[in-house]
Amino acid sequence: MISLSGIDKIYRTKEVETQALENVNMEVEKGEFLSVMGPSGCGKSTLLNIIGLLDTPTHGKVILNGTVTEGMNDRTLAAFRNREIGFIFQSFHLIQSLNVIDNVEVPLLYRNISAKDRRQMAKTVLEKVGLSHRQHHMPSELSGGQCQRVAIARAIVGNPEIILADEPTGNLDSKMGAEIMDILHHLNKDEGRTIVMVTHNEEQAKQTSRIVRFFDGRQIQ
Amino acid sequence: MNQYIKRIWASLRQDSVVTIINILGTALAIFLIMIMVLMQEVKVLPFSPESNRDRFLIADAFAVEKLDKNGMSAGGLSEFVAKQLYSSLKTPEAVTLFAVNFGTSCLLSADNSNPISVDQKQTDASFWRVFDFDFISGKPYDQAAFNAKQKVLVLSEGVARHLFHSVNVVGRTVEMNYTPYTICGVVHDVSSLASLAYSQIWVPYSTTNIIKNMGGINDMPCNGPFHVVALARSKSDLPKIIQEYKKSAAAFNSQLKSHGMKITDNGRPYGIFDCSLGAFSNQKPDPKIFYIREGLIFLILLLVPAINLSSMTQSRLRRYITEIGIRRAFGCRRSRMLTDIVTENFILTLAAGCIGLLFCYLFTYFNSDLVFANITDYFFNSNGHHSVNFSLLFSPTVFLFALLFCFLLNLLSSIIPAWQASRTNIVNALNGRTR
Repeated sequence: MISLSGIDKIYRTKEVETQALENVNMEVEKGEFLSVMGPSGCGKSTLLNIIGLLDTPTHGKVILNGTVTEGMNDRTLAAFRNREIGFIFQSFHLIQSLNVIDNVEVPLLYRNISAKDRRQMAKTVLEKVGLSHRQHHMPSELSGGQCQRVAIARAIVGNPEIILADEPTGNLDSKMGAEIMDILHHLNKDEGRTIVMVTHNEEQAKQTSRIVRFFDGRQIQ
Repeated sequence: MNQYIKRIWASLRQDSVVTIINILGTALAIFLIMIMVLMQEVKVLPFSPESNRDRFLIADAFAVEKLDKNGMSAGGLSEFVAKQLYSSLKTPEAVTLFAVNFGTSCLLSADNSNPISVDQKQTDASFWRVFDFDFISGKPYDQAAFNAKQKVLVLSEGVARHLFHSVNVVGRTVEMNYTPYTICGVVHDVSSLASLAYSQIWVPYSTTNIIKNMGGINDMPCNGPFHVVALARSKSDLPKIIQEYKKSAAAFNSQLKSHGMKITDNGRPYGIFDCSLGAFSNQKPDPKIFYIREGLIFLILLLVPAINLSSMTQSRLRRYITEIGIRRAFGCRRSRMLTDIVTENFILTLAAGCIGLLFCYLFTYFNSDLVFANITDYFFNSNGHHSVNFSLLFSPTVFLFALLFCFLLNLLSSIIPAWQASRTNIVNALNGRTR
């Protein structure tokens, strides 16, 4: 499902050159739940951004679902992200000016789907994450756990095969974190979605199918 | 569309001060531009009694010169020349000759009261066919009255009320420059913006001694106070009338040749637009210069607010950079992002444009004498008011101009910030960084 080969990511400024990732080679099978661990600044999020086509590697090849992403133009990349990938961020990244259901609809705005169908699809996923009663609330009226559930609903509303979660429980207490992990496990086991999750939480990582560890931009396990 | 409205509403709630300043700044820019547009449009848009402006051909001047180049006389037309050149034309629906009193208004009194100074126009009987006056009472003088040199006149409502405190004054007598005239009709007041038709009283020029006051060269009475307006049956007739006029002018020139003279009309008669450019008697109006001048003025009026609005848009977008990152992450293309930002800004500009246009209408309506002070010629129209009617203000042309300038202002103020925002690296945008 996800294949990375020889990935380097180097950030260059006038004064310094920082190597965020060095020769990363990784395969993630369809339906796998992979945890990426490592200390802060080791390149975990950079890796996730490259898998999610939010950023491009300096060198190396990314193949997602059999498609080589190298050389794709903005239009194709955007369509690919929209169709194949769902993102869950540590700080939720909900649009504060939109209510819950409008936030969930965001990925569907970039597909040819009628407003009525968009609304129906958003309602269905909100039910799935247990938030159908909050659909007209604004993000500022929700708890952290509820915000993350909205973010999960947004990530899955377009039915992507890959879900990329960047420390999804990092801003939550343990109880809410456990609830979010339950939803992610459900999406992985019951719906067969491939999940790559960056986490600092050893306990949560152990619950996933595989752990890879990074240190100073290199994959060490 | 719903998404755009939500976005604008959110920005209004979250950044109310900046958004309101943005809207008011745009409104002010559109207000200024539309005042400029209206100042030009009142010269060409049709309104009563010049409702047929688009079918007018106007000759307000001409020049006659000696063939040996030793003399030239330029100015208005004498009755003789006006008739020679225009009265024989068959294509127009009507041709009118009318004279404006140079320099002074005339004195008008009723029932031995103190005379008042009023603007006067001396016309032929066709004048009332070319211009569509709105008669409150009575009727215009006809050809028979004109030919018989009947001392009759038409009064404006304002003058009638001033002299008689009534508009039902048909048949009553007034003294114009101490000569008794009978009132044959009363019309609604005419705005001096209708500069061809405007006056406060209208009299047959056959009843005055105006045709005696002609100037010229070689004893030929060529120049005088007359203007000519030919009314075409349809706009498509205008070129035919010009062709017919050219034949008439050629015939007149061959007459003049024996007197050692020729006429130079500088392309007259003009349509209403060329006439509005206001060339001197011996010059041709140059639309190119007009367009360049107006274009530069509009450009400056657009650029100055656009630069300010652009920086405001940029700072507004900086605050929404994370949202831009989120949308891009979930599949929004750069081009869509750019379109979304420009469209959202356009809706905002359009709303501001409506406010600006409304300000412009109100300001123009209630301060027309101030706005149009330098448009009409006080030399000829000393007592009139520059009132504008709503039909003129709400013309489709004015709306189209407002829409065009909103679009341009939006494009100028939002395209660069939108372009930059749409090209921000997604990861940076998600982290709230603009680079």
